[in-house]
Amino acid sequence: MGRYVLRRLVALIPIWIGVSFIAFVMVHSIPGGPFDTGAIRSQQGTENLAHFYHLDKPLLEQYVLYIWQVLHGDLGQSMVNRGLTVNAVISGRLPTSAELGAAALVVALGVGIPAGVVASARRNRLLDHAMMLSATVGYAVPNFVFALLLILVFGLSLHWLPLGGWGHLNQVPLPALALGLPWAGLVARMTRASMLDVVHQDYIRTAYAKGAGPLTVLVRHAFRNALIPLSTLIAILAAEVITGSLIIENIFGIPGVGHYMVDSILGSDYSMTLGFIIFYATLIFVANFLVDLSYGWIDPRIRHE
Amino acid sequence: MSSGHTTVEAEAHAVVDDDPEGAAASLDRRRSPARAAWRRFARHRLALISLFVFVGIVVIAVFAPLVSGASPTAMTSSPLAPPSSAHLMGTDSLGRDLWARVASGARISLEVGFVSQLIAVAIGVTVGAFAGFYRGFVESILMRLTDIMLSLPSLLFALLLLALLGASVRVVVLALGLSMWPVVARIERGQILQVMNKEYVEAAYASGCSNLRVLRHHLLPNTLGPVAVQATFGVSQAIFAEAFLAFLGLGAQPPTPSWGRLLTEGYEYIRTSPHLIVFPGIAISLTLLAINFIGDGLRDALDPHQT
Repeated sequence: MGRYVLRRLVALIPIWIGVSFIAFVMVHSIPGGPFDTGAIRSQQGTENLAHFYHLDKPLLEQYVLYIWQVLHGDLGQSMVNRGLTVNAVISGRLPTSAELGAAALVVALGVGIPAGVVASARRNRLLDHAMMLSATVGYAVPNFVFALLLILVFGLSLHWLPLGGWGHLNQVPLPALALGLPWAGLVARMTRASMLDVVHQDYIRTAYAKGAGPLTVLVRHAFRNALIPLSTLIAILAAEVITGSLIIENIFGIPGVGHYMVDSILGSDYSMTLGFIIFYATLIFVANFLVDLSYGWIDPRIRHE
Repeated sequence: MSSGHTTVEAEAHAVVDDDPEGAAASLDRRRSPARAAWRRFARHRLALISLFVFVGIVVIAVFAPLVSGASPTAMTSSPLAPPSSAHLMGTDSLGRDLWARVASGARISLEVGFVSQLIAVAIGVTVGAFAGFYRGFVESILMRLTDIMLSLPSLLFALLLLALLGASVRVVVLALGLSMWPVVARIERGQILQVMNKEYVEAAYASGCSNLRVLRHHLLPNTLGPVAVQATFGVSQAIFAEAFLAFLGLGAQPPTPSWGRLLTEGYEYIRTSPHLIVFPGIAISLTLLAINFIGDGLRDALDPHQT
């Protein structure tokens, strides 16, 4: 297992370097320097600023310096708001985003997995068709349209829940549903397909043959094995919850990382934008790495490939 | 999936059949892979209905100003009017006819969806085909590049490119095309690897075809089914991404009536004029739903092994 972990890690590192390089080069080719703001400044002052941010060095050297800094845990600082660092914004706002993301995952898995299991048990009956139809609808409707409809129905018409904000428990359901429900549809479809794959296996017949009841077979034998392909979903969901949070945090006025990142893009704060993108890319890498590990752990054949 | 494959299957059936006349008839009925694929598609009733809905949306998009009878940017009436016989979907905060704006929004969405996927398919098929065909060094370089692009979420890539080139629909199309090809490349490579072992490829080489001819005339046509399925879902992902970016103010700029922009503009008046978000919301949801169902049907029709 140790060698397998190492091999996966070694395979991922060049990709992380590639992603960070592309992002770095793109941000640094943005036309106009960060200090062309029209502020009156001496020639020397401008040069000092450029020197401070390493902008007077060749691009490749800047990249190496930046990555060195990132590896020491420093994602850089704002070129617009003096003294503000990406680290400070992330450490202040990540807990909020993580709470929202976790709540959305609970919705996605909590609704999707049971729906998929029930649909597979009632295969090709009315309930199955109805559930798969709503799963596709849920998956097709964009999360921001969901968010607006939820606000309209539960906030403005029924007055059950607040329209936005964060910090109170009753502010959680609407954004969590908006972010999680579309993915519940995908989870339901994958769970159903995975369950249908499993129920034709020999060990399911064996379980019935030795006299286990339908519910026992479903839960103890089929469901546990059907979960294996679902672990891929965790990596997909991690990426989707991150990009989804950009828009959901904006709609509901939630002070998370996604909200701030959109503001920094709109405010042309490129060094901040770069820091956030490197941060998100790294999070997605960690998710992918964990999925690789779970494969190796679940299925020993993969370890020895 | 592949014409060669289907014919072999049909012949296998013919051999099993005892009655020679019936065999000939069944061979004839099964001869056209396109017809067989259409039958599999039409069996998927929701896909068929969605196809009609989608054609309707395309017609609306193409003839947008004629269908709606009003300009999407002209201020024709009192602002924030609710739906009426004069304005089917009401008017927005500047008195512009919402139905006209939703209809020309369809034009933008479909354009983004199709053009970005054309770019993605063109790059993806080329990269994937070469990687699968030449193996070795070429393959490892191309597939590393694919892996790198694949792990940068396409929305983040689009955000970067929009910051770089300025916010406009054209940049959105370019960004989505440039970020969505890796999925296509992976599928195409896998397909090439599968098809390369088929007898008809060997036969093509035996009859003296060059590498490039085998690739173009024998391999590529037989790998495009799953690519078409992926591109269909890609169209809906691209339409979603365009609306997402426009909603955040990072894509289409006013007064362009992108569905995402209509939703942002409507969001400001959500308390008094919910029709401003309901109609664009329905438009984008219906379009994405139709494309997804068509994609499901296409998968059954062109890529039977997947289901």
